[in-house]
Amino acid sequence: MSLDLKPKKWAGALREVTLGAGSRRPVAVGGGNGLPLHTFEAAFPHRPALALEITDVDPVRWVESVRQPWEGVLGRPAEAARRAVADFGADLLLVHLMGTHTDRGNRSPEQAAADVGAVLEAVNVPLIVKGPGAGQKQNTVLARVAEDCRGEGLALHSATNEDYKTLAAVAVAYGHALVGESPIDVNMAKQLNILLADSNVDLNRVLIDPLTGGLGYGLEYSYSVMERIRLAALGGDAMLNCPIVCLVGEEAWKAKEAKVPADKEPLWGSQRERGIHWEVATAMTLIEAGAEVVVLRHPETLDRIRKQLDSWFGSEPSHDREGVVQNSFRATDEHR
Amino acid sequence: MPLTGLQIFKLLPNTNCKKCGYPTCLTFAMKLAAGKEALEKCPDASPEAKAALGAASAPPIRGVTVGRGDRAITVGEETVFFRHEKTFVRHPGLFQIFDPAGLTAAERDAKLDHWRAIRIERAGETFQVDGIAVVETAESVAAAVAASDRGFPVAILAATLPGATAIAERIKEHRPLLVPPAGANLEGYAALAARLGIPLVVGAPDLASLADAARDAARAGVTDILLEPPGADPRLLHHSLSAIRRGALDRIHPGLGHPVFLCVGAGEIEKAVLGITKFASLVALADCGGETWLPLWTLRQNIYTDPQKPLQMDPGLYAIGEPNDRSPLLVTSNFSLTYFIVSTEAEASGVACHLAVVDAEGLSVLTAWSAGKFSGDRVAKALREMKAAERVSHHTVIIPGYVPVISGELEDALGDGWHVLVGPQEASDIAPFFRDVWGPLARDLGTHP
Amino acid sequence: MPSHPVRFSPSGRSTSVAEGSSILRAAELAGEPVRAECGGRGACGRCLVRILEGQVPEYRVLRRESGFPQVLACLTPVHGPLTVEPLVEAQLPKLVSSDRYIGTDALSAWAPWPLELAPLVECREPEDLGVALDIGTTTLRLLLIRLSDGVIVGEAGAYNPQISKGADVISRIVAAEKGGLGELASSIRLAVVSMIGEAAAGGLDPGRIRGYVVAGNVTMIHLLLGEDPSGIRRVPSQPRALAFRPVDAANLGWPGRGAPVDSVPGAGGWVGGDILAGAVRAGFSRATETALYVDLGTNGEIVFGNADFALACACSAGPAFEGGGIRCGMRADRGAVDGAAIDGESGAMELSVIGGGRVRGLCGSGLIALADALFRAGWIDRGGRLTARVPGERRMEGKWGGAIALSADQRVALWERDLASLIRAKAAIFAGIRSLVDSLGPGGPSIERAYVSGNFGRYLNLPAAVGIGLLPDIPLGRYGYIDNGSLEGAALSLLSREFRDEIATYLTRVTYVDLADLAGYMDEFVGASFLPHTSPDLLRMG
Repeated sequence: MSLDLKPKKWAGALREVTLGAGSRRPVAVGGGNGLPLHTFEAAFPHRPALALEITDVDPVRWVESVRQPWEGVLGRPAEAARRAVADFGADLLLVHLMGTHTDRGNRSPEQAAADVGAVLEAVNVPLIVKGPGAGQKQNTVLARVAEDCRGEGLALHSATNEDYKTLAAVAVAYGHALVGESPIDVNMAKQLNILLADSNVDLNRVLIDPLTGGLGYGLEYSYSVMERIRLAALGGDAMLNCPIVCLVGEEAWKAKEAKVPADKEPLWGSQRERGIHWEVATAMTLIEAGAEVVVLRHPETLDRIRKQLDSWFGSEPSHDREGVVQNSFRATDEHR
Repeated sequence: MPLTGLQIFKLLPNTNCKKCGYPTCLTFAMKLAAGKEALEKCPDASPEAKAALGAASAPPIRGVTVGRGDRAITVGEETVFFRHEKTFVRHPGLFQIFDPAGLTAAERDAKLDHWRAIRIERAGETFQVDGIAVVETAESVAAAVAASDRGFPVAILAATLPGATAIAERIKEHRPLLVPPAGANLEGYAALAARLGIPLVVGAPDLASLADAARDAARAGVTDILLEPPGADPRLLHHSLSAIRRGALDRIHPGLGHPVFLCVGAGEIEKAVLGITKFASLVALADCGGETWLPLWTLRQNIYTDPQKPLQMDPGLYAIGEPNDRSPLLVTSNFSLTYFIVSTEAEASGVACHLAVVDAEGLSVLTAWSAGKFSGDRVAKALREMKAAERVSHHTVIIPGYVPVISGELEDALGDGWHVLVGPQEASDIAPFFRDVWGPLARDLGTHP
Repeated sequence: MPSHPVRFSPSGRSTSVAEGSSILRAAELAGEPVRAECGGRGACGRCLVRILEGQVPEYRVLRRESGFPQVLACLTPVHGPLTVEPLVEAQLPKLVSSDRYIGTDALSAWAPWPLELAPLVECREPEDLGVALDIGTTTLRLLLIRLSDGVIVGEAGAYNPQISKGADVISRIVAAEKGGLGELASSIRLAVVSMIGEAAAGGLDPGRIRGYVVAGNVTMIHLLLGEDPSGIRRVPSQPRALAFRPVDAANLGWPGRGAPVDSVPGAGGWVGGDILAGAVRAGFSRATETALYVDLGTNGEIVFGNADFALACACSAGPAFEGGGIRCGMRADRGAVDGAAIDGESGAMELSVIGGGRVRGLCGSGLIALADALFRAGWIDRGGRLTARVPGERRMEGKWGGAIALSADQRVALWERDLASLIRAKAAIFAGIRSLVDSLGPGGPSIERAYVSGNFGRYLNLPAAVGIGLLPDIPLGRYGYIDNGSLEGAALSLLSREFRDEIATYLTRVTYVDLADLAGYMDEFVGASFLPHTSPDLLRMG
């Protein structure tokens, strides 16, 4: 008896968003027309991109096991960026300007712009630039970074439902992409995209950050919200079909389970491995749910996730005519 | 297809007799449609109604029980592809792969006792080793018996039919799961499982042969079957798992309507993650360290939470940091996501505080308010029950900025010199709120006790 | 205990109050006309004052303008000497109306099917009177009706005096449990006596009242009759009774010797006679079409059904629809903005004002119409926040966001916060409607008729209400207005035994749905918290 497994065809597809321009080697994400990783029935022009997070100041709250691979370069963004790309193989970087937060050093917009500029000098991958958190300070900082780095196709992180107008205007003015962040809710993600579109932001330059719940801390909400966003996109909802970015490292390493030493909880096993597993499990689960960009902290996690993705998308990145990194995959190759 | 509330309503007598415990037949019909009630509660249901409801509610994936007694585990009976459509029903059993070769009886028992003793409490669930997957060797009969005696459900990872038969015969009363070796001829194993009435895993190199093999095993008299999906690499495994679930739900082949079994080798946590998220029902793990098991237990807990009944925090007063009687007192709803976000931001603020989690039936603050579950009175009652007055000397409570509307009512309901302070709308503003509003006020309160 | 001087500006009135008393209390003592129609619950926003001199607790400051803090007088304690300036025009009309119905022939105006005049009580003399009374959690409304011909001859409206014991039914039940039942009962009974006096002021004789019909939610009826309401808030709800025997008016201290006071029965602890009276008034009990009934109040009540079944639910909308909680809210009366048009080209905003003349405030229907016009003109975004298109001369800024000036002197303005309240209120209602209709499952009945009831009933700008996503987008011809379904249903019960009996029969068909039990309610609410909706196609429900 043969199996009649009909491939599932959808009305819609994800938007394709290209990150990086100017001196960057661009990375395109999205564009798939099926459920995440369903390469057996749908076409995915790009594989999920893997980013590493680097910071402008020493991230003192990072737990030792995730500080260790960055030893010597924490708080030195250009060197960290070089290590992230050259040694660890990140497709792109998230530069977290945590030091601009009023309670974490209150670095100035000028210092922030200089930090990002130094990273742009050091590496040629696209950058996501994350501010200190929604508010006046973030707007000032990111506006300055956006202006100084015009033409580099940064992704500014992040506009929110309550505070999107400044960054929308800045992104449009200086040609950057924008990350819209909404609190684990399909409707609010859509509302923000509508607000951005109404502000003349091209949604082909927008990533959705649906707010990541780490493993054990709301992962299931992110998982289902992302599945629902993907289903809406595939159903043809033009306001929900932007690729999704997940800040996995930040959430995974925030978990108590990634921080507690083995001697305090003997049943929990090795702290280092446990932390990496926490990040791996969070990342893999969210890629299954539809993450197209995953931001990680530990290079070992990146390595492990990359090996997994190689199974779906092949191991050799290829460059197309425009120089876009394109791990192309076509459904026809796979029909057996 | 499940019936809608209105369709069921039309099958009911519509007498509003209340014998089912609900005020109207329509209420009862809606509970039935939601799967929260059984038709047996209606004494006057017609045979037609029973037939229609029964046909509509048979799950497309059969349930299978492994083991006996308290630790027996039932899996399967799933009805959806996406957990948000309804919920995933039976969380996968996580079995420890155990190779007793070369162990003394004492060493073997020590390991089994250790696994049996593991109990980790997390968010209302107790994590434990759900079963033991015994690798067939010369020592395996004794090991399987020892595991069964400790109450563990046992999977027999067979190498040979005679060896598996010897083990299965000894512990058949405990309903072990029979797992033939890869590529084995299934006929003998199916006959054994059928004869002993125990569940059987069937495997095949591709999906079509897998479905046929399951159908053949059923024809050979095996009632409880699990499928081992083709999965040489992650992509193929993911494809197989997705196709089996979809095929089962679409009922395209009777051989696909069974739960899935997966073996995970050492250092393959990614494979286990894939299995737990994508529909595997029994996962046997070679690794035995907490650094592997804890994330997987936690992932399973996350994925198998009923999304329509949001994970709720137990109402109560939670300490963020080490608060004292002068620390701020925040109040929020018991929707766990709200709690996670608020507690995370409060913790990040560096200010120790008390977080009062109020029973708002698992809804977020605004939704709860709009549904009447976060009224000033409810909050006041909760604060009294958690004896908040004894925990903070300032008698000031900070409410979410989205519901300033409850402040007057709350202040009145609390009485006795309580103040209500409207906090920020977004949790991310908690730190500046503590700094700019709470700080000066706390000094003020110090002079006006 | 120390006391502090409080002076009001510009009137110069002053007084001295005990430490910790509210500014509102000081105003009362000084004779300064600061109003708190909500009973001092911080809900109506009418007692907003500016602190010119002196210190108030920072946590009470709503905003600062020109450095002066603004606070609600009712919620702000006096801890030292103060100079205070009232900000809301004291002469603003009352929020409760009382002049709608005189001369109406109740049966011909309201009967959903032909009803004979057959009063519940014996009518001996041509001038004999009956009373129809709606006891709302927030407001009370009363009609004096001539029993011989069913014509309304007197009416009155008032705030429910129990508001001082809490804004919602749960707080009232708690107050009753704490030994306040007697006081709650007597306060409502006294309020009714004075309303009768007001309604009869045109020369009617309350001694001729032969009978009363009261509609209200189950809690209000318990409190009126002095019955213990504590069982209502148990799960499941266990009221003392859903239908009470008529009591003698004299027992309540009401006029009309021997006149029976009948209360419309409820269907459950949370489905009271007010909703049932409204639904039957709307014709549900004989309808073959499935209809929606929406009562837009602080508690939005929704019924969906027909002659065979009905589902009912309640949701908290807040006071926005009644003009409450809105900075410049007022009832639909002279001076209230009740409509708005914005010229897309010139950006000129035309306001229509009830009675013409000066803009004095915003009524609930005006708020809806204004929000719709602002949204269409692009002055507010879909989240309800001001955009750059608001002309500079109309734009105002405060600590809590921006505002659009509606009067030249900027005394009347629409704040972003008011819009946020409106969006939340309309989202609660619309999410309730969708959840209720969807709870019957796919393929269930659609909305074939719809009735809107509420404080502004007939003033409601229906296209605007649909435009902002408050009500489903079905053909407008399917909508009908019902001014006050509960009051009208009570009047019909008074005048027609048949109608009264019909309610008693229909109540067995009604099922209460707790929105919190419905899995999709949270999504519906968030989805509806946008203009007009996150997914506008979901508005189309017909």
